[in-house]
Amino acid sequence: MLGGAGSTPSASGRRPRAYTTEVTGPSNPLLVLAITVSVLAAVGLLVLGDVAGLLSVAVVGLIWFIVLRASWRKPPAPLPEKSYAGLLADLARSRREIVGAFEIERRRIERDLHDGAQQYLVAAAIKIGEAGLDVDPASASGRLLLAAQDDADQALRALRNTVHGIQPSALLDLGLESAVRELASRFPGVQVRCPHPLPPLPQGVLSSGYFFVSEALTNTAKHAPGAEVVVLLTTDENLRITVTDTGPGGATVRSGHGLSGMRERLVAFGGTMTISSPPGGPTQVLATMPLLLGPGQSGYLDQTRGTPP
Amino acid sequence: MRIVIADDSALLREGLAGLVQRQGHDVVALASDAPGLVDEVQRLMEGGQMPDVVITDVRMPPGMATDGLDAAVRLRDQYPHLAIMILSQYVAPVHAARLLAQPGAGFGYLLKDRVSRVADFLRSLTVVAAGGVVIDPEIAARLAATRTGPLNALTDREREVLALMAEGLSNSQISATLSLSAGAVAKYVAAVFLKLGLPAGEDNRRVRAVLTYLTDQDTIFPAGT
Repeated sequence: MLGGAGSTPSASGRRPRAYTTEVTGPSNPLLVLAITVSVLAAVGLLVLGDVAGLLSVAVVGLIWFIVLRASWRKPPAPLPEKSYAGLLADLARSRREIVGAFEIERRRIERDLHDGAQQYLVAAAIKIGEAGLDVDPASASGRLLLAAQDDADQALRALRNTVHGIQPSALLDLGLESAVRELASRFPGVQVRCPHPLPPLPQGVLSSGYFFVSEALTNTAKHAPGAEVVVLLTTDENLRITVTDTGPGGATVRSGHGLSGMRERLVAFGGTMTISSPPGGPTQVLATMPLLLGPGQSGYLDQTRGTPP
Repeated sequence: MRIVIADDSALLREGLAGLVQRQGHDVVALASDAPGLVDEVQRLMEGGQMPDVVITDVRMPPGMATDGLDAAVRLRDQYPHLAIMILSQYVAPVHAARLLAQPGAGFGYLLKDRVSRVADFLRSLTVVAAGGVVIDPEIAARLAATRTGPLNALTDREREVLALMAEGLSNSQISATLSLSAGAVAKYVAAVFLKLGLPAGEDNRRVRAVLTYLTDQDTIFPAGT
């Protein structure tokens, strides 16, 4: 990648001025005074021939010199406000690039499985099925063909689950809200609320949000069966997802379990996950994910301009 | 039957074409992308050669998203009597709901893997070509777990019967599947119609009942998403 001029230290031959500590002459008046007093005292004592006094003044003078020399270094000049903003923008951009690269790779794997292995398996299963039409299902060959068809079905199901775990197809085709609704329809008693249309979300935020809801609903189904569950999706400069259930409460995030892995995944790109679960309930799990917006971008979708593609 | 097949995978397109041809059907057009499908069907329609059923994949070029489904919705707008069978690599009720929201001819929505159950698949094609509705068992199975909307009023058994109706099964096939007498099935079917508010005189109540189920899913997928 070609950076602009000055993007590397060697480009201009010296480090940026903001990072250097300037060393100037002994302008500190205290230091000048100390040196002057020490020199005068030393000359006086030398004239008087007091060697011990001379030595002690020299030592005291040396200590003064060291102490004042240290304080005489100026503190590094604070970074101009503009540089901090620039650094933050750089960080956000590099995070976007990392998250984006990760998602492109997931998508490539998903495509390869869909367009490669899955197509061949379906084609093979169809041929087995067709061959079975001409064979007595009770015969040895008929039973083998049926068994082969069951195996192919299993393989396709396993493949679909794997692909779904890598990158849910519904997420790419339908967007987060619909994919979450589709996910929620697999669990009884779950309501999804999304009071405002979501803006276009970066791929990484999309899949992290989706997998967070998936983990949270799986947890709820396990620990609070029969509870009413509400999933709320909103955005500001973060995507905020809360999953609240009317279960018994007392939930904690145990390391090595689903939600703790989820928290690590969120923290990896600047997100958070918090849980509130007093005994007696309700339990609320909140995840926030930075939208990694670029300068001037808003997390709020302006409906008067319609939904961007 | 005169069949149009659209799938971007040559392997599946040719495999499917070979299968239906060997079962005595005619493949009148093949397409490998969404614009190709629209062109082929329009060409046939202009020549007065309406196909009995159009089989299309959901994900196709150029967008590799829901282009095939979008093309089917567009064709259905233009030709309400065109029977359409959607094959998908995964099931999403919202896909099925989009086509069912348009009144018209037969419609099917199946996982691609179902094609390998050749006898069932051919039966589904016949149902769709004849104006019926066939919904993948995986979606129909979720029906049993649905607890919202108008379906709330149904008993477990009635929901089970409605799920099988959504798969395109006739009353006698339902009675065989659930090991119930024909009379008992007729009673459950009547109860489903009654509870879903489908009066006796209404045409195509079976399709409407399935539509109610999918519209109920549609409350999970609000219009416009």
